[in-house]
Amino acid sequence: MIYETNTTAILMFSTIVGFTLWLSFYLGSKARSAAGFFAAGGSIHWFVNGVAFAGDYLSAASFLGICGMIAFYGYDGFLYSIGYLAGWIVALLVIAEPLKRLGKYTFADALDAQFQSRGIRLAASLSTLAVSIFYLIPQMVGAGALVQPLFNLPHWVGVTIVGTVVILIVVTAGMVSTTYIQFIKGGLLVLFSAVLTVLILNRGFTALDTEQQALMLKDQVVTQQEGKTFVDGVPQGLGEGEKDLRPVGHLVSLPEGKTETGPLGPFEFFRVFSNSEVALWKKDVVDGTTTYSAKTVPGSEVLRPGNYPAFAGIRGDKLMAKLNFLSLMLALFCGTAALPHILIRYYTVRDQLSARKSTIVGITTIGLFYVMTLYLGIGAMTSGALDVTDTNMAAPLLAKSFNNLLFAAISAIAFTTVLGTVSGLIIASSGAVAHDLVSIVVREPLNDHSKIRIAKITSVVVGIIAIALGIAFQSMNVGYLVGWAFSVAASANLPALIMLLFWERTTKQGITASILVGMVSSLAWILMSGDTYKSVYGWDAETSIVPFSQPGIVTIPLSFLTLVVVSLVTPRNQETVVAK
Amino acid sequence: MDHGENVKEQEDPQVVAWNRRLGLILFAIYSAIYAAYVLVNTFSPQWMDQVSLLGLNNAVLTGFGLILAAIVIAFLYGFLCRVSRAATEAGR
Repeated sequence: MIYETNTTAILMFSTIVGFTLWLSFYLGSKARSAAGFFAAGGSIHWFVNGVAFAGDYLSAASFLGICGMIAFYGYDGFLYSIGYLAGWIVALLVIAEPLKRLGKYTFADALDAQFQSRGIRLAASLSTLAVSIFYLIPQMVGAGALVQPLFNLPHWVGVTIVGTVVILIVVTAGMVSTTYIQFIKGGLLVLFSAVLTVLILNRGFTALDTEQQALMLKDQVVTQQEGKTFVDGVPQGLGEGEKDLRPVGHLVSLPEGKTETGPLGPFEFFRVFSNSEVALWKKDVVDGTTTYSAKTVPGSEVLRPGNYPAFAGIRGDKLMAKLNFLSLMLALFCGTAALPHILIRYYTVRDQLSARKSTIVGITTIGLFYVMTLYLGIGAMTSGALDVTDTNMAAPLLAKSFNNLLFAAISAIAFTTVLGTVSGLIIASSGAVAHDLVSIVVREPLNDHSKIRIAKITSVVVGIIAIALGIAFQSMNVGYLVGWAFSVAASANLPALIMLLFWERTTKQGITASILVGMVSSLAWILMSGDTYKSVYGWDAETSIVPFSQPGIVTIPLSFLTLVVVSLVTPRNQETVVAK
Repeated sequence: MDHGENVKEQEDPQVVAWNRRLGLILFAIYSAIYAAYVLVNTFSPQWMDQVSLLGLNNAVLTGFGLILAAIVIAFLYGFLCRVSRAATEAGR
């Protein structure tokens, strides 16, 4: 779809993003030590840190990916909301306080607290880099999606802008500014999502009449000829003699033959929708011709699991399809407490009590947001404003269906969401390199100045890698991509953390082997999966080597098993036994 | 904005043990609820289609229920956790 630019929207967007950058540079000028750069000197208030948790966590995947998945496939996107939040229970009840007790700057600090093992530092820093880069991909894809409708710029330009700005933020600032940006952004995201939810309920539903149905539900055919794009055989464009794709997302009928409902209550909203019919769009590609066609589906079928192609198997008989779903839900549950950029946020507060309180604030804020994702998704599905070519733009386009100012505000918040999350991920990566990886190679301890310099160089390199991957993965739903990052984190990091805390027989060799096996096996599984075959390599998914795409159900137990076996066969002496 | 320095706490082993046990009990409860939800979705998804309360189907009800349960358990944990004397004094 081609988007017309709006000056007011661009001005508002630029103001919000400009303020965020100013704040970042201002706060960054105050962080001069390594403790300040990596962990904000442990000086962040628990409430600020709690909302910043929400800011970190409610990334492009939550806001753009989940809303988009619900808008195009229904309830299945909400399964991600539930899984993402459930993971916080693991973080709060099992990980938060011990991690705060053991660590200093990075996730490796906690794992290595009793062992001082170069192997653990190497494995933990490599896994931090792997998970962070995997998590960066969807953020960058989301950034590109946001810039498109606002500035009418190509996707790759959006990705490059975000990458450049984030590199600037991180190299000039560090954890203090990242925390305050996340605090502001997390708060604004929940606030504006609440505003959108109220507006959706107030607008209610409107169904297409028969004449509109004939016009709005017609197939849309896109072809490429000699480098030009044609829509229904006409050159794509907004000028005379040109044609663009129609926005989609309509209710076909309402209960009792009504054409509109007026304002609805929060439960009434789903009741009415269940008894309505909605048009869902699917895409078929044959010999370079892409056909988007509408299918009328009862609302009751949309508000149930099993519509998203990757989850459709739960309604069939194939065990492998069911295992794929179980595997994803396990990874979402286990992944949160193993994400490096979330774990390092425990070091920004004063003590364990603050770690606990900030996690509770984080869970409440994130939980409220996830409740709203179902309203936002269904609201977008029926907004008449969706871009049929891109699921990731549902939330900003939903806002645009109300007015351009709201659209600009939501886009700016989502953009700062991406900025903040990418900053956090890059800080986690740079910490892993400067604090952990370099200390393995260089035996003598580095001073603060050297550590920060290495961290900043790492930030630039990781930022460039993220830009390249963000362009390469443009067509994938960001929520789905984050599912993979969770699988790698849960397989590589969680078994080591859990066993370190709860099994006295754990040895340093066991931890190192567990991290490496979890990381390599989950990455290998993803690269050999049917989804990667189809979406990344362009090959036939049926020819993939592994039986289903989500690795967690195999690789998480494998990582646990590796730790147990290696720990049992390696010496249990005073140095290598975990101090309880 | 300064909120105090990062501190290494003096821990009361009894407090740590109580909090850890409480955390594990609540974790077990929530894990069981989450596992039940995921297993029903996987092996009996048609149950999720049934309308049971407030005109909503079980998928919407249990989904909202799980999110609400996470928030309730988080507050319960925060309320029931014990705080070491050192931490209390540091907070004053």
